Amino acid sequence: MRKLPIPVCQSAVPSRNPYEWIPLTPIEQMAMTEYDVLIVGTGAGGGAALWRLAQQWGKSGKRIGVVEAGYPFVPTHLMNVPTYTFERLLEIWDSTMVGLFRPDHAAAQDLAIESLPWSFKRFRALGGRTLLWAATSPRMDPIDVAEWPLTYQELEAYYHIAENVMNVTNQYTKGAQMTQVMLERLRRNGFPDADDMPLAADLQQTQLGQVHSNVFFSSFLFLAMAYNTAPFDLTVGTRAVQVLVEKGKAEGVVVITPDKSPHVLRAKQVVISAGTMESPRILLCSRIDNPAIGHYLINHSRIIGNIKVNRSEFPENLGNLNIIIPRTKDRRYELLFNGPGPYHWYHYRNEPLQNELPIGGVGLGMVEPQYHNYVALDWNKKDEYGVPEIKVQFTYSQRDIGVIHQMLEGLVRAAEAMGVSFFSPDGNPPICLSLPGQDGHEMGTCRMGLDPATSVTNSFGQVHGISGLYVADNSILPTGGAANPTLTTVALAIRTADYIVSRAE
Amino acid sequence: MKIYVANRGDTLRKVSMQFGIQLDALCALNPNVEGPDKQLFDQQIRFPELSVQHPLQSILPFCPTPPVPETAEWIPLTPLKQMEETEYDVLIVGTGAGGGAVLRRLAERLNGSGKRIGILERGGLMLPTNVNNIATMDDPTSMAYFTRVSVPVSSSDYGTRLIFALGGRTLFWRMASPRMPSSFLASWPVSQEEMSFYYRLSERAMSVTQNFTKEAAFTQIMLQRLQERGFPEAIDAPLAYDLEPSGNGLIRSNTLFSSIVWLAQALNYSYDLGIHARVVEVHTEKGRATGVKVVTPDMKTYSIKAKHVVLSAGALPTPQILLNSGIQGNAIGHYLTSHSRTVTTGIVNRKEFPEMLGTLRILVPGTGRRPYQIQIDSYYNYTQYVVVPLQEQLAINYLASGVVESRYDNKVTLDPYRKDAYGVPELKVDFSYSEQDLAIIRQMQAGVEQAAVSMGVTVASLNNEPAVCLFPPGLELHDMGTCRMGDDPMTSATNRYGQIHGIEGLYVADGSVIPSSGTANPTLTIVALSMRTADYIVAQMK
Repeated sequence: MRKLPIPVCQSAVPSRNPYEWIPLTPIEQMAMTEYDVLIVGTGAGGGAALWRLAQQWGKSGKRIGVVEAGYPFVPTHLMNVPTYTFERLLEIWDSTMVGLFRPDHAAAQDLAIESLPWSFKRFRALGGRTLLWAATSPRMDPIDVAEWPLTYQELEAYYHIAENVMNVTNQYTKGAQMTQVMLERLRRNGFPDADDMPLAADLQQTQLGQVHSNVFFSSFLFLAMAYNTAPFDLTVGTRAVQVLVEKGKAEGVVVITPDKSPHVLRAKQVVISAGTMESPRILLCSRIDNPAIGHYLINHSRIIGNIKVNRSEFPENLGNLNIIIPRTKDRRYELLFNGPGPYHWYHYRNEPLQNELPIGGVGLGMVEPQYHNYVALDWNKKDEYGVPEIKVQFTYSQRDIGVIHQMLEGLVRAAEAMGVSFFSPDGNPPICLSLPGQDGHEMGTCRMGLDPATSVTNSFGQVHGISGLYVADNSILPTGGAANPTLTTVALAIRTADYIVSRAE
Repeated sequence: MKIYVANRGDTLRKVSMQFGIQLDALCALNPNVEGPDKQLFDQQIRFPELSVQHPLQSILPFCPTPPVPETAEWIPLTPLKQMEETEYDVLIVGTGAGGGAVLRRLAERLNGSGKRIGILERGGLMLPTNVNNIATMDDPTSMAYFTRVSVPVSSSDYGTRLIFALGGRTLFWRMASPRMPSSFLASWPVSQEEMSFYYRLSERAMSVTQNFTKEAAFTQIMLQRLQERGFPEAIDAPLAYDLEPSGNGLIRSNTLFSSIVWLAQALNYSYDLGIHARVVEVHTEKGRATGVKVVTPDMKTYSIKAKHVVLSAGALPTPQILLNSGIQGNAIGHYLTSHSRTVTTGIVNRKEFPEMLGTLRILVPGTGRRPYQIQIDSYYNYTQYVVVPLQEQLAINYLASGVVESRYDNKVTLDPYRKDAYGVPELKVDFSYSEQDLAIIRQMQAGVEQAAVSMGVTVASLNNEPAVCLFPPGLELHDMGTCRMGDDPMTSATNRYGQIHGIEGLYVADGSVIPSSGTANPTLTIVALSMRTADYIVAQMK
């Protein structure tokens, strides 16, 4: 080689391993660390707690560890992936959700309960279900919070923080003729509280070096924000199976790696954010003595209506349709309208002009907490990790069925108000009822409350009687109202993080 | 136990919904039925004793649940077995800038024609977007990720690195999209007017803009200094950024461009995508391409038929496929060129700039008198969630790209002694700088230092890295020229439309067709020439 006029650059960038889209920490290294906080799960609750702890503690030297049972799946919300369409999102919801839970037939017979088919399913991935949620972010109505162990004012302060960090906006449909015309019709015809749907979507323009490529919010953004604020250790494919409790205090977590080897991760505070089905499993496997763990399972009853509208009623610039009719004192359900067809979110879709456009109408109904709706352990059946499997008992009460009646009537009235009609796509019913679980809104199995006989955690998500052990996910919601739960779970998880910070001082 | 006789279209899943029976209970009672989605017309289905229609069903039927797809990836895939059964009108090999551009242009031009397009990718699904659209990525993090997932060319110290994944290196590129300055186009077999047309098409398809730095004081002040002091050609860097806000249903999440965007746009037209499909040979018959031979990582082979084959595997893999197919051509694999690349760092006082700093992306393009270009930027160009404390000094980077002569002796050949895991002879790369290349490197570095003086920047070492250094050849990833286009088969591999001399229906559309290095980052030019080749293929079909 000829003599070069300038010194050759040394390859300065080391490859990092293990490494995905975010640095990972080997489990052996995590096992040698005592964490100030260890978080189990990276969905909405775990992500929010992590972000808030990182923000509050900064580079103070506090050590945060995060354990995720799933693996990296996609590094952003699926709706941000350009090859994604509305139809394919439904498909991936079905194919990635795993139905592993068994019905508790014996209990159903003992209780003489009419068995109701359900479809509770599990999804494991870095970022959890926030990778494919619909981003609908309404607040709970104050009347639903009245029985909770915190005031609406306290919750409201955290709603502000959550809405801010998740970019919740009602501007997504701004100027969209279809939404504005329909809102006008709804407001004039008996639904004065119909509104633009609040969505967790970053609509900002990219400029001055600030890239806005993550439009729909996912918990991966919590991880990204935390990563840029404070160091934390993350392991994936690692399943937490048991919390170690010594003299009424959490000491750490037993985890199992994919090769089935157990490790003990020590921590002063443990936050369980594994979801409504898995969080009670971890607590029950830890033999934590509380009669409410796993009980009071709730969801939202859900009806789906197929609606069609006449294209000629709308001007050239159609825009999209995202409307919410919130739950009120007299209305024990929420209605959501999305459309038209696949155009309520799209990237490069290009289809010919239609005479009729489909829109989707969804009703979410309140479900009352009942002790005999539960998840429990089946100690006779263990999975490949040696962890007892989950059995589920769930049915709707007479009152729940009453709400479904009201909701059906409400959906039909709202369609009338909008001047639209229902249709049967491909011979499917024009309006149908989802199986419990298909709504993805399961809640309540570690509900918060004042009375340890009927609740699992206090208002800060701390498990009754055990210091340093917290739950931060949908399972702590004591009642479900009719609002999509993610925003509320994020708000409460941030509040739990603040409480942990205040206790650590 | 109750017995139910299935109607036409009934499956266990459908029946479980209709009668409100838990699906797994129903499956357990009917173990002879193969899966919940098997059609069961006239068959007897056993029901559990207790089951009656659930009272809820009197209000509303349960929603139908679609059968669960076996796999669902973030882009529709076609099994290679199925692709073997199709004769494609066009089969594209590679999904980077060249292959993606051919696909997008063909999809646009052939929409509604019924023509069948297939596209094959050697790698798998790594990322669904450009790496710097990912929230956790900043420059050092994405570089570390690139180092981990990219592959060097074996038996070679030529420094390029390849990405075997859907989208290829467009998943990792840095958006710089200048046109090739006209003085370098003079010797190309494509007219300037035609290049301008295809450059315009490409810039629109990639959302190339100079507005990213429009309001940025950092860039505007530095541009003024450069323009007033010896660099009047300096401009806001043209970058492939989609800067539009999202709203009204339209999602603009692909700010930084990758060819995944085109794979998505082309879904409006139907095409088949096969992944983990390494093309090892092109089949030809009587001077015409007839298809390709594919090997998968588990060493299964497939033969896929096509009337037109477009090789877009990259400037090193494409000649490897051609040579391994025994396709003769004096220039195939030769005339390998790239850009010489120096990196220079410097600092400037933060106080020289106003409160709202913005970002820095400047291009000093090459000209007839300047056989190099300089890209000027600062750190934190891609930040999303990084919070940078107020700096006293701002870091400046100069990436300079110098012309490298096209020489017959700079070449890739097949190594007769070494085969890779797919049984394909490995590539040997012979590459060195000529005296002229070295002279340009010296001239380029003098130019960089002059630009630093003009901008009031002090050349300085940052983070213990040398203040000035030269990339090992190939590391800037601008491999070009190994199947250069031209009119003379002795000095070129393809004709002026990218068709291999003497073989009908066989085309190259990637960096290997670029006849001479010029100074511009090659991606935009690859895209322009690939779209032109796609148009030529459409014309050939008529």
